Amino acid sequence: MSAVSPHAALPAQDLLHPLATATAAARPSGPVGRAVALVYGTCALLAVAYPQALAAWLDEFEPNPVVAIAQSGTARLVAISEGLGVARISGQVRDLGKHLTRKPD
Amino acid sequence: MLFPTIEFALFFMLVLPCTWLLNQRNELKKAMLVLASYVFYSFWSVPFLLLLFLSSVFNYAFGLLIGRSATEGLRKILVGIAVVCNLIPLCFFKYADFVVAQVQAVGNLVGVAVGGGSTGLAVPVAISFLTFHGISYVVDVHRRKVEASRSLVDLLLYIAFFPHLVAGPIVRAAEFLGQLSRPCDPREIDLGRCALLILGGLFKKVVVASHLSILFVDPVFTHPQGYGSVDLILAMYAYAVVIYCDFSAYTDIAIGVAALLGYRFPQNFDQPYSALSLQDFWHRWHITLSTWLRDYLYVPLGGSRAGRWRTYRNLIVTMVLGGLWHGAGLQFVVWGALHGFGLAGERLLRESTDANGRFRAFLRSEAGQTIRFLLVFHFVCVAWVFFRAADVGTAVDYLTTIVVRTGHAAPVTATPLVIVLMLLGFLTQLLPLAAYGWANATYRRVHLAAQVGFAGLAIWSVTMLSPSGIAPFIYFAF
Repeated sequence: MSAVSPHAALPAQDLLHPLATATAAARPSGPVGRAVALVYGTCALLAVAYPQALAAWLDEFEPNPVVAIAQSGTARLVAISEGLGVARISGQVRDLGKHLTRKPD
Repeated sequence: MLFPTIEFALFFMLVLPCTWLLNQRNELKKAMLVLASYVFYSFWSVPFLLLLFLSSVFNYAFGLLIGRSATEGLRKILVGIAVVCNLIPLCFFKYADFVVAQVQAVGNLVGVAVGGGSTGLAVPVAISFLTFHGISYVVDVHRRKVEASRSLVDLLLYIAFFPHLVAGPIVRAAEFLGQLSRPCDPREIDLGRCALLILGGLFKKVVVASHLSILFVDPVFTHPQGYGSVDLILAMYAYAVVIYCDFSAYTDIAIGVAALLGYRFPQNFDQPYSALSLQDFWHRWHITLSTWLRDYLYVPLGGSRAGRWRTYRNLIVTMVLGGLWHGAGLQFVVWGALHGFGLAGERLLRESTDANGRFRAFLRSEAGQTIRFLLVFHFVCVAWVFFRAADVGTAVDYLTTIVVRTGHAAPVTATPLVIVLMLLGFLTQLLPLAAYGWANATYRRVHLAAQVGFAGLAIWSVTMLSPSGIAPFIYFAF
């Protein structure tokens, strides 16, 4: 009663593989790897697609070294997003969304 | 910490891999989840962490005491003490001011000055759900439906597990403690279901409920006299959509998040507005609360075992107390009473008509079912007006204004977007279950990259269309 079958749970090594490579389009084999890759991949995608949200969130913190490091990382994300042209699309769609809903941001 | 926030995303990105890394070291994993749940709660209040902890320890100790008591009499006394002690913090924080205000109002009516002011205390977030879980545990131990937990960590996690901590669903000890006794089986992770629950929940909350509230429901309910009857009726329907999309979103996300961590939660909603009777509605709406009220209130009151009229009384008392649980206000009492009398009336009708007679045959026909659906839906919507209004007077004004203004020409302020959002909300009630099954199967079939792409696109779209700042879920207040 205290344990499932030996192959029911993944060993830790299987988990580390997708964790380390989720953003590099790896193919994690197990269900845990897929779940972790899905969550991390989605968050990574969102960070590139709309880094302004991350930047605005960080701006709400009192300045400190950790926040400064996070802000510099976010600045790079914004640069990448702008380089890819995604930030512009996000900005335009956000404006459209605000226009549709007639609300100030 | 709200689900649709960056804080929660970062928190969950840490908790998810840690949970599975520790899966084979079950005790350590549970301790980590307790810690994570307390961190989650601390984003609302650090001082009330003590209440959460003490409540869990209290129920753990009483569970053991009840479990080890040999005589039935002693078990009854202990469970009685445990239930009363669980209710004390809830009553104190939630109802003390309400009771004092009612006593003062009665005192003023009879010309007696009653002293005592507001406690000025904030109601701890999650106190209701904390109480429900505590009572459910000690009563189930008393009823021998579940063994008293010997592990304090298990009980700390049962009561504080972050996906259900703040606004449910109410998980029974018998359903949850068994899952804690062994490592989770990763093969049970249904990624398609988890993704659909979480993404669907985000859409319902952020896009449908938030926009409908801000654009239409809040202004109309704040100043109903400024609107015509068409707007008032539409806002009543819109609020039905808002409360469903808001609350079901929270529990959908909670169920999805728990499932990603390997734990199963019960279903909490099942297309409630498609109900054909009030009884059917309560089998579909906030299922874990209605079954909780049935098992821990209606049945102990006597249920349907003590004759027809006592059954009606028990239904009304249960629903009134269920209403009062939602908030310390007479409007919630009226809301509960409406449902209680409605349920009792339905039962009376059922018991006083011949099951094979023409009337019941008509009710079973297609036309009869359509009429029942419309009657139940409108009854529920009218009752929601009391639930949403600031007080009983405002709710009565609202409903009176609908009648008084009928036939008067007044500009309709509901925009096409409001109508579209309402239709989207109602669509969730009409979609056949097969559609969800198909979406789940399709999502599971595609490559992981496509799954990530779809999830990213869905959340991005929701974010782009979101109002600035997401209001807390409605049920946080309860």
